[in-house]
Amino acid sequence: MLVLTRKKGESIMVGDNIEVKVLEVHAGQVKLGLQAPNDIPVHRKEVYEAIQRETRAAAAAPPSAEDISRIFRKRAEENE
Amino acid sequence: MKIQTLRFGEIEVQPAQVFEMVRPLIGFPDTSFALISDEGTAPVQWLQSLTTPHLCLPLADPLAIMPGFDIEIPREECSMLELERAPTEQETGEQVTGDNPNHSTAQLFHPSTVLIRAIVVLDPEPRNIRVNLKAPVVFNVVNQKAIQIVADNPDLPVKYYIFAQNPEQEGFRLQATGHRKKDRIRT
Repeated sequence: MLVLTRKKGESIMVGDNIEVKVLEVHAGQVKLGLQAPNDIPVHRKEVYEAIQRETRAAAAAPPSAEDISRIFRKRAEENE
Repeated sequence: MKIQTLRFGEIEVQPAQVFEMVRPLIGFPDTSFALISDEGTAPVQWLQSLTTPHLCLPLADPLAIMPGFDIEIPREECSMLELERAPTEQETGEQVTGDNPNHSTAQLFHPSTVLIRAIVVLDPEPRNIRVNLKAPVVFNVVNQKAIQIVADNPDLPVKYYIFAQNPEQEGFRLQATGHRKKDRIRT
């Protein structure tokens, strides 16, 4: 892993069009500003991983999903 | 066209069911999917990959699960889906507040244009059945483009257990008294 030291207000460039800027450093927290093209999504890593895990779990739905969907329908109707 | 699927076998997909992900789902490279409404599993729908037979995701209307559900669609995603949004109150005179003045909530869009579906984990154990309200898929049904968005809103959990007795225990706050405009994007 490349390690760089930056001060508040300084940036690093990743490639030609991704900029990561240190906006604030305070009490063990770093506030970063990110500028990246629209097709480069930026996520907090733990959120990214949680979403990916959930989608994998969703893709593993059992073959007999009909029964489960029925439970789901009941719940949706309760919310009507 | 005919496609091979693990769940449904070989099925016929109508052109109107096909959606292109303008950015892949997080962690899945497939970009072509069919949105399948199966009577046997309603209200759960399915997002079936056209290229990976075993990739099929259950979907549900988040409004049916969480009354008052709303989510902001960032401007970038709006433009990737070619969605025109209505101006917000802020833009019509009031001062813009918050970190993301460029966001539009889902309810600004007409239901005949925008469909929002949350990915569902259909666990055999009902207590484990959950929906991902944080990262739903937004469909533009007119141009058949779709994208997964990630909500900034910390009230929207990745795991929303639909049978949880104490949703607070799952690490989120449920705003039961939130604005209730479900009729506007109800489909």
